[in-house]
Amino acid sequence: MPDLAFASASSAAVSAAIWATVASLSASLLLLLYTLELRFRRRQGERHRARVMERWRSIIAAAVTGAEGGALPTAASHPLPRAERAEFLKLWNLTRNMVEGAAAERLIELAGRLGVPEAARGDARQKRSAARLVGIRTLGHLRDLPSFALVQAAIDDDNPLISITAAEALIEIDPARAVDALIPRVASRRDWPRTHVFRILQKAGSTLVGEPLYRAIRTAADTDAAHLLQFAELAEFDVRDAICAEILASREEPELIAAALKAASGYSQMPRLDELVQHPAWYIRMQAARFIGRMGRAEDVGRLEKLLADSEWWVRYRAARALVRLPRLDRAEIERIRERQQDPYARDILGQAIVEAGSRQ
Amino acid sequence: MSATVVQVVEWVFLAYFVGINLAYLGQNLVAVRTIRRYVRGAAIDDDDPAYSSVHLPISLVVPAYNESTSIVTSIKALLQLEYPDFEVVVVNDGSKDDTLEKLIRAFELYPYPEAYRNQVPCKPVKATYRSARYRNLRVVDKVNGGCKADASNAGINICRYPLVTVVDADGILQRDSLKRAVRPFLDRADTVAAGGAIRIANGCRLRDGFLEEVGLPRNFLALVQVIEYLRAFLFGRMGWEPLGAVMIVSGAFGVFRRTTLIEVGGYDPNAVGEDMELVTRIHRKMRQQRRPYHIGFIPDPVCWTDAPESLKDLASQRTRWHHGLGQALMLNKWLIFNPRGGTVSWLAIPFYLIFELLGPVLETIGAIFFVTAALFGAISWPEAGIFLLMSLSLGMLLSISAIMLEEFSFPMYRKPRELAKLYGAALLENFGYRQLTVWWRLKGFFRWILRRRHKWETITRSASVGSG
Repeated sequence: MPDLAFASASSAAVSAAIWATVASLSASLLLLLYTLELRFRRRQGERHRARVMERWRSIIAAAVTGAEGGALPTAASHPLPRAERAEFLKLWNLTRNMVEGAAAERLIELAGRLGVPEAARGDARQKRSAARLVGIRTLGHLRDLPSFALVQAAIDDDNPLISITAAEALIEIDPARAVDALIPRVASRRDWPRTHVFRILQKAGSTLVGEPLYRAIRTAADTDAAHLLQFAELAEFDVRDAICAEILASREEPELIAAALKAASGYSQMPRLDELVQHPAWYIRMQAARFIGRMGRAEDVGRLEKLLADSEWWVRYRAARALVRLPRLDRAEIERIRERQQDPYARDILGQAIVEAGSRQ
Repeated sequence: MSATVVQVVEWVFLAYFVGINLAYLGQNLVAVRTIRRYVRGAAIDDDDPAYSSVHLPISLVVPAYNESTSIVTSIKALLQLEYPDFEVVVVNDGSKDDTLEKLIRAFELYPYPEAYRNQVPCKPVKATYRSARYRNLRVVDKVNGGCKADASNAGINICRYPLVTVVDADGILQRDSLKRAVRPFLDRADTVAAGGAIRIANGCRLRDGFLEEVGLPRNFLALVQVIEYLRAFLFGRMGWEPLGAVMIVSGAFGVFRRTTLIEVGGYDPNAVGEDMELVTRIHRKMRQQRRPYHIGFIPDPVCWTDAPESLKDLASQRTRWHHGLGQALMLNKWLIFNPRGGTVSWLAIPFYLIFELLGPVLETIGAIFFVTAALFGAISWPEAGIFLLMSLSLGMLLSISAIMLEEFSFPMYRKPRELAKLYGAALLENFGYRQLTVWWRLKGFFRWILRRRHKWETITRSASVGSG
């Protein structure tokens, strides 16, 4: 084979390899220097943040406690530069989250004097979700009424965190208007964690939530109404009972009936109980078992025993739990119920429920 | 004629090296952009009550096989995680040691007749236990299924929360891991899975199952793996994330929607790399059904794991990983250049196929060719040396850029001496270590071709890591 030196036919490939080597070594060196610079800048940034936090922490603490005769600083005496705003807002929001009453009012006043509302509105309009989140949260904490429309627009954002933060902020700004705006969205925003929605609506209070919720459930499509019924316990008892009774008497969609059974709180709303414990949809039978368990009447033992032998595990499980929780049945009586079951699945599930109940005690 | 062959081969290998490194550098650039956006958000979000108050309950599934020495410390640490609503489900996969007995004693377990539905296949469960001390701890004792996948499936069947994370029994989680890992699910409603960066625990100091002080290992093999993990997680995964093409959520720590796991059939007990196979299958099924979905990744270090410190263990691990890669790609071959597969089919899969799966084959052929050609005088030794130098310098560039990304995102190695040590490792790994990994991956490639089966593997623990 011929000897191929650098000047041979393959020299182009070799030249390319040399250039690739030089380029990668140079890039490595540049990256190394950049890494060192990053480290230096990070240290500087950490020191700056510590200084900023130190400065504003004492001012915010004074505002909360009303120290120094209640006199709050102004933008003229304590300007809030843009470079310090993120740290200030972090500290302010954290503190605002913890206080209510006069301390909260003083914090809001402090923010107003420093020009925070204008800055927060700007942040709430930004594209960057982190800045928007802080802006919206701050506007909520400020109870900034002029921003209601701006925050309301954010509840339709695709990002669930932005939208639910906006929902919470709206409730802080104007609970009555917020509830009207939020409840129709609760039906459609299935990406909002249920517990969080519950907590937000709870802040508005049952008086404000009940009527809009009732209206929304009556007019919503079956699946949306079923979803909204999860929040029925936020409404006052009479409103909740009226909703459930109306649905159980007039609607046929199984998921909606199951949701109403779950929310129901009294036998007055249960004209079809015997029909529901035999319903073809297993989740209705399961909710019926749970309902009977909640009511806690000894005369329902027969209904629950039938459900113990259901073909669906969850129905058996809920029936068994309901049985062991019936107030007038003692352990010996439950054991007797277990022994008389012909169905082995019924005996097994009741056995599990007995152990569970024992472990709770 | 020979000169032409040499030229062609030279150009092919030049193209391969430039191609693979351009692909990596491309990932790097995307990762820089993604991490920058993430870090800017994280700086503001960390203490924001929006994140701390919104949470989705999580079930932690911990498959355990012969984990007697560490299981109690690991589970105690998991129970102390900072998260408002989670449960721990330990699955004892028929351990031959006293893993179960230790769990029973330490957590006052008592038999509990749990009735549940088998929604993903697994070997039979012998008994279920509940802790009298921790209400959120349950233990499943099952017939040995021979692999982590089978044990994980048993846990998926029995767990109760909408999000499931399967964690290694010897993995060390950050206290706020769950809070961080759940963020992709809060940011996007269509997120079905999410992973986070895994770091090497060797050289770190532990106390009660938690990381007390971060440090670098003294063992050279473990030190080089620190760099490898930075490369793999900071630009290997983050580079694919915005393209919707994350193909691996590490088996050491990943969060999944339970409904998604059940829909796709859970982990495949026959898969060697069950974590990659699962994620690839999720991509395939979602795209076959034309459903919108997202697989997220966060650069936060969420889990620290013990890296093998002996050549034998490392060889076994790398061989298994490569075998698993080939299997995962072939089991989901529908994705290869499928018109419905989007970026997964047209970018990620070709990348993994050509550069990752076939990489060691091509690199070995290239090395043999250049040495043979030089021996027979077809090319000069300096010419062969130039190609070798090019390959080494490009490899070093990638390692140095990974160190830069670490500094840029969540720097853990703060001492100047540690930074110097990382650079040293980035340089030295090119002399022997990289060649060894190519050899192990080549073995994995042939194991995949020959369809050899793997079982649970235990790696000798590093002496530097222990509970304090």
